[in-house]
Amino acid sequence: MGNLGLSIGLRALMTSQAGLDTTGHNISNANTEGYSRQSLRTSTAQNLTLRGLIMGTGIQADVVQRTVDTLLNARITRQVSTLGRLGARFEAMTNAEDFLGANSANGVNQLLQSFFGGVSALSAAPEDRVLRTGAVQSSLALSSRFNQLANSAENLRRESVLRLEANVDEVNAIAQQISSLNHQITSSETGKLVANDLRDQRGVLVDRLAGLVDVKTVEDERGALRVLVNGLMLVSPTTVQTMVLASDQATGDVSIKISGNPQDVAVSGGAIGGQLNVLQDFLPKLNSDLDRFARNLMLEMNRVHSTGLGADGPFRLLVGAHALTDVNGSGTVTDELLSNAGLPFDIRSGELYVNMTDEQTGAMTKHKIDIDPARTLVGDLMNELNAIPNLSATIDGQGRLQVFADTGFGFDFSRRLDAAPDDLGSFGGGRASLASAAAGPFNLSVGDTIDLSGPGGPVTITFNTSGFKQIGAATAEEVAAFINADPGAQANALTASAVGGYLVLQSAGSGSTESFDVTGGTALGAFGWNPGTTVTGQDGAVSATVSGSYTGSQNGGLVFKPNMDGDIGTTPGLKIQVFDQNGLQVSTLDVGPSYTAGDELEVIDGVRVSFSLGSVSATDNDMMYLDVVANADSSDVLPALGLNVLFTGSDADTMRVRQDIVSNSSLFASSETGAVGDSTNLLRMLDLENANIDGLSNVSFSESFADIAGSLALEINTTESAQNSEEALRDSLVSRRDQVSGVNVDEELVVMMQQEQAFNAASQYIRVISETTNELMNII
Amino acid sequence: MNKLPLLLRHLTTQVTDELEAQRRLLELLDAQELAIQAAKPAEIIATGRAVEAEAAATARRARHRDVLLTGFANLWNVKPGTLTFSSVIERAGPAAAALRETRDELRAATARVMRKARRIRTLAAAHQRLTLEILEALFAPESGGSVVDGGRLVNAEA
Repeated sequence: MGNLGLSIGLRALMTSQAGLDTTGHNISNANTEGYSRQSLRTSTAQNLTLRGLIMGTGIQADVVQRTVDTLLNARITRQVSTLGRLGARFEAMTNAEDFLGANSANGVNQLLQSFFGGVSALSAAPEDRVLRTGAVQSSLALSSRFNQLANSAENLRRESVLRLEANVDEVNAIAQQISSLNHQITSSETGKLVANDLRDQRGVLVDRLAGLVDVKTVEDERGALRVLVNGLMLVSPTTVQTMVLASDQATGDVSIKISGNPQDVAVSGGAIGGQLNVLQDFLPKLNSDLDRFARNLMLEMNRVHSTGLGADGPFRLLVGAHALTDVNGSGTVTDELLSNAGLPFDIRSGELYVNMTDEQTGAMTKHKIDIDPARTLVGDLMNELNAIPNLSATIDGQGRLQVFADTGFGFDFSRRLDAAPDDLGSFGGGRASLASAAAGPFNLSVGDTIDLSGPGGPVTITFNTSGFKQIGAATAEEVAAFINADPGAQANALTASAVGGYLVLQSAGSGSTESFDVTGGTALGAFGWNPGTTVTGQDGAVSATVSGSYTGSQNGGLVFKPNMDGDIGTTPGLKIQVFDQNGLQVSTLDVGPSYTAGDELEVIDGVRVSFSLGSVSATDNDMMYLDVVANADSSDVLPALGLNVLFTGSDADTMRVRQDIVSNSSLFASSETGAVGDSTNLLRMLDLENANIDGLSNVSFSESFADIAGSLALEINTTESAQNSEEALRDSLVSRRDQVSGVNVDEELVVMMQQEQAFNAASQYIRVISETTNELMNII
Repeated sequence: MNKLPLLLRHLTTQVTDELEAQRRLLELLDAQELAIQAAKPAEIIATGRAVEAEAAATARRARHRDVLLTGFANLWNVKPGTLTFSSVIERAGPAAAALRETRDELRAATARVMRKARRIRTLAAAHQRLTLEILEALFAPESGGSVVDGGRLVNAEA
């Protein structure tokens, strides 16, 4: 019995020591990250049967257990993951906001204002060299700013990749440590033993891992933790996989993989999830927004600039800024579709007007080239350009289109009006001239004839299919070429021309002695001609002079026809009727007795015309044609090829001011006519400042950039708010965990001191008992 | 009038009371031992107070016992301080048979209480030393002294 008592006392003392050790362990780890308060679980020791009696054997220590709330810890882990993602996004977005500098003096909108300010100043004095240089410099500042933005975005991308790499390395290091702890825990936890501290360490690592990547953890029956990332095993009870950052060198795209699994891991949480989001979503969108803005700015500016003229007037040579690409590998670019020749801007279905100017006379001819992105080859465009008299087009060694004029000629792509549209004299010239009653196409048949009689005698021109795409719908150009090739027509010195779709047949010489007869033929009806018509020239030719600037919105042509035979300024009732390209009469000009030769008459949409004295004939279908051009390049072929553009490049990174403009500011296209003081092209540029741009969702440039910066600011605010609320939630959860699992040193100290005092008091009580029982025992 | 039977009856009753008290004390000591083993301060203090209360009742019984033994001493004309329960039983002879049986039970119970008290005292002292050592190890002030020492007043005006 004495031995049993000693054993009970000893066990009690050991149990008490274990409890005190646990308390000391708690206090020592009060500030250890992730430590969970531990407590000793005790129970009554197993009874002992002795001499037929069941004897109690005191107390025993069962297990030291952690005080943890598993669900709460899992919630904190998820919260840490969410915060990691938000933190990474927030950091990248604030960096982007910094370099975007929307409100700084160097911001895009401020530089845009400066650019338009420079253009505005130049428009008041387009010949001023200083202002011209200033406009070029502000263009340079604008393009440089976009280059900086693209560069900063690229730097941010590289920085994010580096951080991502570092975080992936950390994930792998943590995964190794968790795996090692798994091994230690499963080795040490046998029976009732629980590796509390190792579990706490593992919990800390899981939280750190969650800060990097969204993880799911599952503990097996042996205490080993499986760690899964998007369903893929990173740490298993026995092995650990490696997280890999895969990067596409060509595109710069990054993705996360886990060794042994070929598919990408869709990481959405933690810092890695945030950085992936930055790299896969935020930065591409930012780059796309910047590029879209820069492309639209370049395109709109270049549309205007390419159809203008510099201070030196028409060009003798232009070289495209953008190279054509031999996409099909045929060895030449001429067989490539213009729309698929590697040009940085789209080709649209439209027209390109080319003006040729005789530098000696100032005479201009306007030529229209139709562009169909589905059909027009590079070679077709070159052929069309080469077909224009005194103009040539080639591809240079760098694959760029080169356009040059013969000596004594210049060319441009402006929409300016032809000041002398009746250069053939089909309206009131001195030559004997007969025009078709209407514009083509003409319904001819094989074998149809025109019987003519001129100085060379009678001649019959018989039509066949030669030179006609479709003889039943013959164009004026085809008919004129057929007639001009006919030996009989040549023998009679008769030439045919196409003027605005009309067929014009003319004598070679001028004056009242010139004439030819239309005697008959089956084709006359197609041209509205009558047999037995004599066409005679005149001595006093009518000169028509066009001025003004066309303000209409559609490209087209105006046909001027007299309503009767008569003399300008003399014949009562003589009027010039003006028809549009659809044959609709749009204006009537009174050139009867009330008209003074040389007076300008308003035709339509800013177009004015004046006539000199002379005769016009409705009988001979006198007519002249004037191209009116609202958009000289509705096909965008000039910006695409980079011909006479202000900005070269295709996006924010490659945007530059054309180098020869930087070197020679007189090339800055300020006018539409090349005339001194003409700043109409600058005014067109200024119109863009507040114009709603199609490619920018119908808002102005400044509004669009404000949208980019504003969206970013809004997103930053949203992310910051989310971050704040998620942090508050995390703090609340951690506080709850501290209440559950944390160590309160004061409480532990108080408990221990109470124990010490209680043991002391117990000794005192027992002393009293001992004294009284001794006294009693003596009296017994 | 023969006072001996009366005194014997009273003393037997008193010894029986004492026996009951020792049994209660033993139960309290058992509870206190468990409280100490479990290191539960509140229970240790509660059981200690109960033990103290029981000890206080022991003093009252001791005075009653002294009165009875003085009665026996006067009866037998001996000094009061020289009598014990055993000498009374010896002098009274067969008339003290019931007292003898009760005295034997009381002796056994008191012996158990004494052993239990010794063990508890040893246990409490050992626990106290252990607790004190851990407290000193964890919280001892750097300036020396014990963690369980009270605070020290200082002259705020100094």
